[in-house]
Amino acid sequence: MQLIEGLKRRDLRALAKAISLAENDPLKAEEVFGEVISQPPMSFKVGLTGPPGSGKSTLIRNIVSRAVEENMSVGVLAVDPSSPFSGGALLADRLRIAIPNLDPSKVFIRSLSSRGHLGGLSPGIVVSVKLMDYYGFDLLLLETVGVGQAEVEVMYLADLVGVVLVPNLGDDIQAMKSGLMEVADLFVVNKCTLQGAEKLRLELESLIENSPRFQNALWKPPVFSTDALTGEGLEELWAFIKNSPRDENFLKLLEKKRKRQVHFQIYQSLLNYFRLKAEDAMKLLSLDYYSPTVVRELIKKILEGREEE
Amino acid sequence: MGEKTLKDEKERWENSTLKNFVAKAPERQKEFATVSQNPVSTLYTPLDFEEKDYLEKLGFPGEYPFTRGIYPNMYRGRLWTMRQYAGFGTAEQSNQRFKYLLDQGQTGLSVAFDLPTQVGYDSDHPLAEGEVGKVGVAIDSLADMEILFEGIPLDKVSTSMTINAPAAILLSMYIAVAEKQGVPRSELRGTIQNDILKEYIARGTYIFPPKPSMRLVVDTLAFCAREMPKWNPISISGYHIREAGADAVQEVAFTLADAIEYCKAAQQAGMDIDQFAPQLSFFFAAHNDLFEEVAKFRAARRLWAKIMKEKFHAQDPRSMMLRFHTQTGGSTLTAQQPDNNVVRVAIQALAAVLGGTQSLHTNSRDEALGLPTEKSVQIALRTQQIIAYESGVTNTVDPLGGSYYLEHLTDQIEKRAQEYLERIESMGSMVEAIELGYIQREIQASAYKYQKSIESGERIIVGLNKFKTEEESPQEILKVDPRLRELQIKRIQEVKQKRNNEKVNAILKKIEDVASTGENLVPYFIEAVKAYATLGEITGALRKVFGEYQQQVIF
Amino acid sequence: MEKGKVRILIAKVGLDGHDRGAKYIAQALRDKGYEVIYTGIRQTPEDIVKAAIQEDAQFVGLSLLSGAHNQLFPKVVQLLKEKGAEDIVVFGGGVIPADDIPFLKSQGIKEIFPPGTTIDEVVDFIEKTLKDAAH
Repeated sequence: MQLIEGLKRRDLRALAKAISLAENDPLKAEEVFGEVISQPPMSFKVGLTGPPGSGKSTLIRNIVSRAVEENMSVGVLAVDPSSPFSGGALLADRLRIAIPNLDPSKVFIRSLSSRGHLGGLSPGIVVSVKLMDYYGFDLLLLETVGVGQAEVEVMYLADLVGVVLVPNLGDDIQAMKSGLMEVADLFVVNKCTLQGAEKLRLELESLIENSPRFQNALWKPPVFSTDALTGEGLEELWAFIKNSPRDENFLKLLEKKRKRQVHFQIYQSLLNYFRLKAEDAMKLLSLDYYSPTVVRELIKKILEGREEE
Repeated sequence: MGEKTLKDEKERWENSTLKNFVAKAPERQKEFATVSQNPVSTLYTPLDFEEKDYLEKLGFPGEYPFTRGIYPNMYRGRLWTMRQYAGFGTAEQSNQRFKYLLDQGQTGLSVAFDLPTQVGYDSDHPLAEGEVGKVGVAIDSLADMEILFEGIPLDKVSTSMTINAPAAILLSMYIAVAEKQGVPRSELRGTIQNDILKEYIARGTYIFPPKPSMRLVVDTLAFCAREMPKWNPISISGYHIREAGADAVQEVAFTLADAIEYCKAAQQAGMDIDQFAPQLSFFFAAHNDLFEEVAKFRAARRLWAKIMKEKFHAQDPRSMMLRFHTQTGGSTLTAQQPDNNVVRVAIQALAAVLGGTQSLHTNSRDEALGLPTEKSVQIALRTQQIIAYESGVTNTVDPLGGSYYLEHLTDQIEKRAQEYLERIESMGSMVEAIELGYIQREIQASAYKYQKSIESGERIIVGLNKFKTEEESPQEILKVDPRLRELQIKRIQEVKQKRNNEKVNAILKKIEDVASTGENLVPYFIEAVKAYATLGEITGALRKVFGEYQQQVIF
Repeated sequence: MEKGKVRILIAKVGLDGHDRGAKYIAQALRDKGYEVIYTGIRQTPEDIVKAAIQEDAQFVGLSLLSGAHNQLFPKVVQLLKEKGAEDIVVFGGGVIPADDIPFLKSQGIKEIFPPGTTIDEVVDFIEKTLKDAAH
């Protein structure tokens, strides 16, 4: 197939089209790209998640420009939710991330929509990340909107997860905080010149101290205070990201993480398969009442259908 | 007693006469509202405006709260300044258009600059490709500015310049040209737009991030307060906010919020409110909803007077006067049946005059198609002259004042704008509200709703979604010669050859140094332009220190 | 799995900051079910072509109100060609005199939408182009 040849030649258009296939039809993409996506991971993958308006894209832009200055190549996947009404999406992260006049072979940015997936990431995300990984960027950045499940899924995709928060987000953050403790490898208090930033930082530090996940752990998430407009704290954040693959404790953590990533890849693939089957089954169904018996019959049919293939 | 009777009588009328009539002949719509979603009732009566409020809410023209106008006799004395925005191509071409307009009876100049000039690039910058001389005149150095005003006595005309991010530099060029004519800066009359905040919200021709941009604004305010008493160092603009899709209420609210931010910044820089506030000027749009627009201008005047008095404790009444320029709404023009635009412009211009504007630009009928032709510009100017000399609305102050409907709308707009101002204040400041994307989102939501209502046919735009005609003869359109960029580039090269480059480099270095201190930059800009440093070189020096702004769009 | 989503890049080429129309089109196309990538203002033809390729857009919609369309629109088409991406369909909108439309079309801009265009006209164009391409 042309695309796979293109990928091997490191053709950017082939990569772009391969990602489209993964997003449109992950099962097909697994089939087509089986050879390349079964390769072991190559890129260091950093996920940034956080509520809308927390300035993730601007942070990513800063990380990209620093990485490029150090002659690294960077791939970015930015995921935004799709419209629940139309299924369409308006993806505008690119304009905050893209830096004009950069060599496109050094920086590749792709905007993705969640395609109606409740988890917040698209069903094809696993394959898309794998494709980017295969292409071999030195650094792979993944931006997701941290609402609902997305922030949980990102920890199965990225090697290092940063949670970005800003002051004064109100009660939502209070409710989110314990969940965030489960996914974060580092925290960023962004727009740190705003009032309430120091308070948020202290709160996070105390939550980290008291979180069961970090009792006697090798790794305690650091908290960075940054401001993308003034540049405050960005140097420190970048140094930390850049050096973590060489940190002994982090490498131990990464070993565990990569196992979890494999599990998630398989799980997501299974989900995609059964979801497709479920959708097909629903198309033929004309029941207007719920019956567990019928559901069991459908499952049987789906499983039998699998064997026929 | 009298009031009670009126109330009873109105109820009776509603429940009998009106009700019976409407039962037989249903109304065109279930609900009526202004363009900006202010609900409109069938009838307004003294119940909607009580006479006891008169002194507090309206007062007398030329006195606080200036609702009826900022001058005691308004247009019975002097008419507004008729000021058509012009400029395109080379400085020579624009110079000719200016002379033509002055010949036609125009009373002030208004300079449009091309986009590279507006964002501080010389014509030879790669991003200037295709843009040189397109939406205005290209100015790269003092050499262009000298040609632009050649033969125009700068002590006789007032000149308005639509320039924002590099406003202080263009003002410096104007000062330099005037001094060559022998006119001291203290005698110069005119305006620079210099309103950077609305660039982030609505117009997009920013260069630097908000903080250093605000510093440039404050530097200009301080310089003009000290050296140019007849100059308006800022024109705080709702026009572009409206054009970006805001409604009338948002136009008032966001413009005044910007103004508050400038005042705070100037105070923080150590200036006294009465030292600079009399020099602040405003710029609004005029759209088609006649009464709403008149009410908007009056509400803005009253609200600003209150803000200056109560929030900033201004003492000088001139600080409380909202003086404004108006332009008819470019976004209301249709490319279809362009002659209809003449009528739209007339209604809008009338709204501006009834609203008490100090100067007015009337759009040309063909502006949705491209640059206006001389003929179209003439009709636009004649429209103002007909209102001024034939309509009779200039014979008394605020002729619609006291209309129950108008007073009701004025109150409504003021109230809703006040609510916005409170919300913005609760976010900390206008800069923070802009950084959070709140203002942009509010404007986008209005723009989206408005456009949807046109596409659904709920709102009728004559000639566009109703009363369409088939073929139309193509209009004559003014074209700018695409080779113009080469000419400009050649002139830059000549300038760079002739000037003393050592001197230029020294002053550019000095500007870099001063930019990182708190010292006022304007005197150094004047020195730089006099040495024929180019606009691109000067903003380049500033870019090094200030950095560049990155757009934040949030849907 | 549903069939592939149509991806459309909406870009403001040149220096003008009037993005009301571009933002409206972007939002309205989203509401019609398309995936829209919005690049923001002040994009060079090079930036736009890079974005169109990386985003694997089938369409690029250019918006420009400053009058620089005769220079900048054809440049986008030409650069796409140079990158082997001439299959990406380019359309444009903004203040564009009727006189200029034949020239722009001859330069490979598939359609020009003048002021007053409705979203349905844009959708019809997209669907028709997709249908023609499928044949």
